[in-house]
Amino acid sequence: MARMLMLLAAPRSFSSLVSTMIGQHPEIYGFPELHLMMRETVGAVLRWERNCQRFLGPPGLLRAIAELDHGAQTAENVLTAANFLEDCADWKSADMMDYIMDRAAAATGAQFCLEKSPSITFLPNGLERVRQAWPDALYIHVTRHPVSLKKSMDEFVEASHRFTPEEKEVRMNNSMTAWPVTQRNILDFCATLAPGQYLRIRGEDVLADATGVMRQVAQWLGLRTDEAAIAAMLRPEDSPYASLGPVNAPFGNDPKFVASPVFRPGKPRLPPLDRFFETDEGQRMDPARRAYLSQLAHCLGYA
Amino acid sequence: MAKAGAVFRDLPADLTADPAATTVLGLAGDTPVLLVAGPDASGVMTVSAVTDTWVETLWPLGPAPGGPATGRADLVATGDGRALVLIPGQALLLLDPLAEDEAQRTRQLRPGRARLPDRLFATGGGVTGLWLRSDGKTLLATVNARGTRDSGSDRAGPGLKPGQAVNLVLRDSAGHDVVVAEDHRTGFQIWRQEGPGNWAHLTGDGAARHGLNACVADGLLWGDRVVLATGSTAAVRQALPGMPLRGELIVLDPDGQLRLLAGELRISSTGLMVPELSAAAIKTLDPGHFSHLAVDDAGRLILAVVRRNGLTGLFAIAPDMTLTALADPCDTILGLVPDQTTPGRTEAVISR
Repeated sequence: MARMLMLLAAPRSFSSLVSTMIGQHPEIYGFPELHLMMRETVGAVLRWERNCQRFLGPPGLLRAIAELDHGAQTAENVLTAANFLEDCADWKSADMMDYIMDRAAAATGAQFCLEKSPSITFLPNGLERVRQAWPDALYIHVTRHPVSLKKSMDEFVEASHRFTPEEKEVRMNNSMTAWPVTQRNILDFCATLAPGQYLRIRGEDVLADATGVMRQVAQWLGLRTDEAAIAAMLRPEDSPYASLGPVNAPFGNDPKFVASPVFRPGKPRLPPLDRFFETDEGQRMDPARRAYLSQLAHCLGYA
Repeated sequence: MAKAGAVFRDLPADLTADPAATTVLGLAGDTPVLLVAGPDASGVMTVSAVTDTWVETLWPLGPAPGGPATGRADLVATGDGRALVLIPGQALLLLDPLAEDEAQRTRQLRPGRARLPDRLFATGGGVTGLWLRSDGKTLLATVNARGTRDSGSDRAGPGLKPGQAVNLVLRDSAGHDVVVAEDHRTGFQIWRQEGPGNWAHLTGDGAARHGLNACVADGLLWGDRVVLATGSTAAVRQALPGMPLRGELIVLDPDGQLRLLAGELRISSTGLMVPELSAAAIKTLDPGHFSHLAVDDAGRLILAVVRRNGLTGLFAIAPDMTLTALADPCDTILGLVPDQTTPGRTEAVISR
């Protein structure tokens, strides 16, 4: 059986890109966002997805089942997958995860199955659920500069059709809350793990030195680090989940990534945190919260 | 009170020492010398000689501008039972606890009209002074027991950026000076001298991986490796209540490579940094931060560790990376000094 490898990242933290890149290692099977471990049972997951207007279920999970159980990500296979999930509504989410991990390992011989569902970083119970189900799981914490993340989140909200203008304004005026909450949840969780059970990488370092970072990730996992293996990791576009899926399950990853999944190296400019503190949202923060945000950012290497 | 491998020296009952504002500077002969706020909690810092029964004020510093925790003095033993104590900007003292004449036990040295060094460090069996210039340039030179600078030993130190402050100078096993600076904007910085005036900036690719608010609490030469204890300051811990901050032990090898003795796995520009201590040993240490380091005559690295739960432990790491608990838990340790009565043993100067 393949071992669980979980990528922990706040939403809008390069998670789709980095997860897909790591998942392209020849000995890793990279899933799209499955959303499975957000809730205790498959039925609870389906109910949550419906609340988010994803009526068939998590698109990434549907695509994965369509791919692994039925050989292709077609609309018909997605419907079959959706029916399968309904039939398994009383399954524990961890059991469903084991099911598709087994399918992935059987199909590809993968040593690790990599999953990422950024929303789980808002749910300490969800993280604990993962740890209970797979005590020997490994974790990668991917970070992003808080100001860059906020900017990306604001752009995502602005472009979304799901929110009313009023909802958008509220979300964008408070979007800096997401970064400290998720990072603290991840750090608190990882502090409970054994030394060596988790690795933290900065998303910006992946962009600046993908070869170096990917090689070290592979080294940490005890996997191949030869040129061919690392080169495969630099081609996220080769993932079966890097392109648009069928009409009834089109995404499962960040839509921007799906629209343009080719890795483009670069050295992102990191805006100073002080610039955020000059904004209205920053000005509303009391000194203790500002100190908290600053020092948390500094702990993760962000100024 | 002795525990396996360590001797604990208590402080006198009438010394009200705030651990956060008390620094063990070192030993003058057999006498611990402390930088203390108080004893009347007035905020006035004093350099004091302390035994378990008495306290003698050697030099009053006056209130530290940033509060008691920011007071500073440097002590370097001169190897003859005496010690030089530098109070930056004020005085250079020679402590001679065994002098028969009481007036000679603490003497202020007046080394001509030369400017006092800004910091004083023990390096390679000698004393090195550091002078800071307004343009960020630094000068290192040997200081003799009379407090005089040996101008023949002058050498340019690394240039500092605004906001950087040198807090440690060591000499490695190859005789290279190693300079460590605090930098609250970009994280601690480490340089190693490669030649006259030529400094390799070992953290030039980004100390950020260790945290921009991490600082080096202590450092020493252990065998042929420089060991630095890093962690967060009290101010950071206060800003992040309950945060699982972990201290680390970073090693500088003779080849100039930075490695990890204890800490989190890390990506770096030179390769994956994997801690050399076993996972079980790191779990045992569970360091919130390492407060003090020492080396005993058996070649063991002695560590004072403040756990994330606030309790202190004293441990020893053997050259083969075996970890031994010497006293766990124990009272707050203010400093580690050589046991003068039993060579090879380390004393922990503790507070109550």
